[in-house]
Amino acid sequence: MNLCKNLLIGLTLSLLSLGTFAGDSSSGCGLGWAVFKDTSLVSSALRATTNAFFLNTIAMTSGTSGCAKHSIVKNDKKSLHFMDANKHQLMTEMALGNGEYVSALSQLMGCEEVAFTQNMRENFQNVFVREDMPARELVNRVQMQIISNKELAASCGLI
Amino acid sequence: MQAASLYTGLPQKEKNRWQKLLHFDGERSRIDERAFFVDPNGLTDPLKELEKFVELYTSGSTKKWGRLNLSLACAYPARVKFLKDNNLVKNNQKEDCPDFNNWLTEVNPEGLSVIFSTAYPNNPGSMFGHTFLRFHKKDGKNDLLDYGANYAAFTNEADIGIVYAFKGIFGGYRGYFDLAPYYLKVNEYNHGENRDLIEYELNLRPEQVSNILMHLWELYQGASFDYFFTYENCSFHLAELLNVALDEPLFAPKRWYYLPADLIHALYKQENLVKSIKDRPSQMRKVNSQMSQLSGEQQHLVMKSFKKKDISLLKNMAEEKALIALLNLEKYEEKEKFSTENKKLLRDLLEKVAGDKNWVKTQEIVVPFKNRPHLAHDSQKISLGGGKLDGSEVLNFSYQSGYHDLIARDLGLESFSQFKFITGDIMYRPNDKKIQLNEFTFIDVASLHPWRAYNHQLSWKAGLRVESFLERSDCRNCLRTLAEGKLGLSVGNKNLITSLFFGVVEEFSSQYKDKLKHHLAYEGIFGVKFKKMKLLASMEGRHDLSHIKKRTRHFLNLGGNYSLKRNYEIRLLSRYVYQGTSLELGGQSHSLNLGYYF
Repeated sequence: MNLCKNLLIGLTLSLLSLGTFAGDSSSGCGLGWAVFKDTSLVSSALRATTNAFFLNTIAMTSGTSGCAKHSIVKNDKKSLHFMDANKHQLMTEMALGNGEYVSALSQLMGCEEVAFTQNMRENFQNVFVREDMPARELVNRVQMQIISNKELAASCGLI
Repeated sequence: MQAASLYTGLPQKEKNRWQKLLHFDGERSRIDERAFFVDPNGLTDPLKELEKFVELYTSGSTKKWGRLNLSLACAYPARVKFLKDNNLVKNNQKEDCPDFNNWLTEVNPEGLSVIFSTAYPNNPGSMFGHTFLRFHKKDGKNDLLDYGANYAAFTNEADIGIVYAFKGIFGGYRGYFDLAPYYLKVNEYNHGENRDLIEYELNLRPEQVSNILMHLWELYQGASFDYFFTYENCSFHLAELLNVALDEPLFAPKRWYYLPADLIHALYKQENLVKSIKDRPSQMRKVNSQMSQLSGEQQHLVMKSFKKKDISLLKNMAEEKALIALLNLEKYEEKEKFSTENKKLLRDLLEKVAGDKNWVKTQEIVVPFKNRPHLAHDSQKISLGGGKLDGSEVLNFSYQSGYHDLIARDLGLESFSQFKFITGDIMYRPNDKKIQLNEFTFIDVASLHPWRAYNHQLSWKAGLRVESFLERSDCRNCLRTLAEGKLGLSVGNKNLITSLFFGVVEEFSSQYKDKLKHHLAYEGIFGVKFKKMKLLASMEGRHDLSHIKKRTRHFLNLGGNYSLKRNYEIRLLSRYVYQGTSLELGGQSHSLNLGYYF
């Protein structure tokens, strides 16, 4: 399979590797869809671009309306997006007890890195309870671990 | 005062700055959308564009601009800054641009890196790789949480390969800039495509970084470009974006293609522009590093554990780490097809590791990495030299349009790889004062990728070229066109390689009775490299299918290449052809050449 792929790419296509957008893989939400409603190629391109642009920048800064502006809630969207994109790396690093992904998540959740990383390792089986888990559930479980540990919660500003 | 006269009064540097903001290229802007310009003639006339922009700004025009329907000042913050920096408008006017300000606050940059994504493994053709940017967050503690800017073509997924190639070459796609969290870029290139990322941090003032970001916002409002794979590609437009903030524009070679490596080389042509370099090794490189720390027996055990889905076979932490790395590689390669069994295996192993009190925490695996693209030779080459053709003296001249051949120094490039195109080699024979074409290569690609127990990839060669008949001393100007495709197996490492290939070679020549000859072919290659020297030997057998016993030829190639500097080399080449099963010597040539890359 790899061979066929490599041959194909090697001989024709990736010789012409354009660095393409990976299609419009957005979930259909976000400002991109609201701004460009029709489905032409160009608008699709713009939608992919605006989603990339806004879901991850402006939308992330807009806070969560109706929720208390607690640090962990304010950062929930970012944590969720990060978890969704990096579940696999996070699972590995949480088990190993170090790494830049778990460090980034602790930062997004406003937690002290060492305490967060140690807690996640100790409670690995309570967070990653199954092989395939949606990001929302994982974030909830991480938050539960934080809340259930007073010292960690304090370091995350959750008291 | 009229903007025209103001423009005339601007120093050349500022005139250039305005033109860069419009992506003006001699006669017109490279931006193809008229909506990006405020004047109907702005696409071709930067002066008129300035005049109209000043007029609209000073009159307090309420017209909305760009994709987000913003005021002039909010849609074009870099242009407004230009006006204010040059006192073309009052400097005290405050703009109220919440969208732009929120966006700027989120990206919050104080530094910038140019990221080079290396070739796909086992695919030298992807040396036309990719570059993008990372904006460093102010006080940022984690690179992953920075933002990355990318220029890419928006392609139609329904386009089949040939359509994709055609459109890519001839500007059939639109190119756009986008901005996304850097971790998405790392996922896409570093994990998803298994490519090393080399990050060149630039020595820029925060104001310069801010100017780039402001202009990126402007481009986002309404700019797209025709995407040309060969020249106006991701790296070219990234260079144009950087030029907005640089005093001197980055060097762009005047040839028909622009490579990502050209952008990296251009960074080094400016004094002190590169501040530091960081590497982000691919998962494959991490696996290689982990495995290389294990004995053969341990590697076997890791593979057995992987195949039997049994972690109890592993005896220590090093083996467990290797299996984790291997499973991660499998996950990145298989993506959604990563099997349930492997998912369970990985989770079980990680749970075991997480619960192991004796587990020694280690930092991220340090993977030695010297293959940085700025160390690679440039891509065009001319060679001059002399030698002998069947005992007679000859002079050689060759020109290589691009990019790299097997025997050239491969520092900064994939080891033992070849991606050669549009290369001509001619010979002058002083004896009869004749010039002959020795070889002309349209394209020649080779990847001698070592086979590993945990990475079953074959090596391959493919090419199309014209070559002279070395075996025909009576017909020095006789030529044959040759197409080859071979698959093989390589063993070795980045310094030593042995490969064996099998495949087909098609030859076309007016010298052949039926014009076309079909061959079964095999080829053995042995290569070794030292710090500055590389030695290569190959033996190729071609068996004419119409007379497989009688019409057999073997070609022996011996070569040595010594690098004097990054762009200079001395090369010694010998080629012998043997005919028939008795291997009767049919011809030979030897040459010593001095090559210069530029």
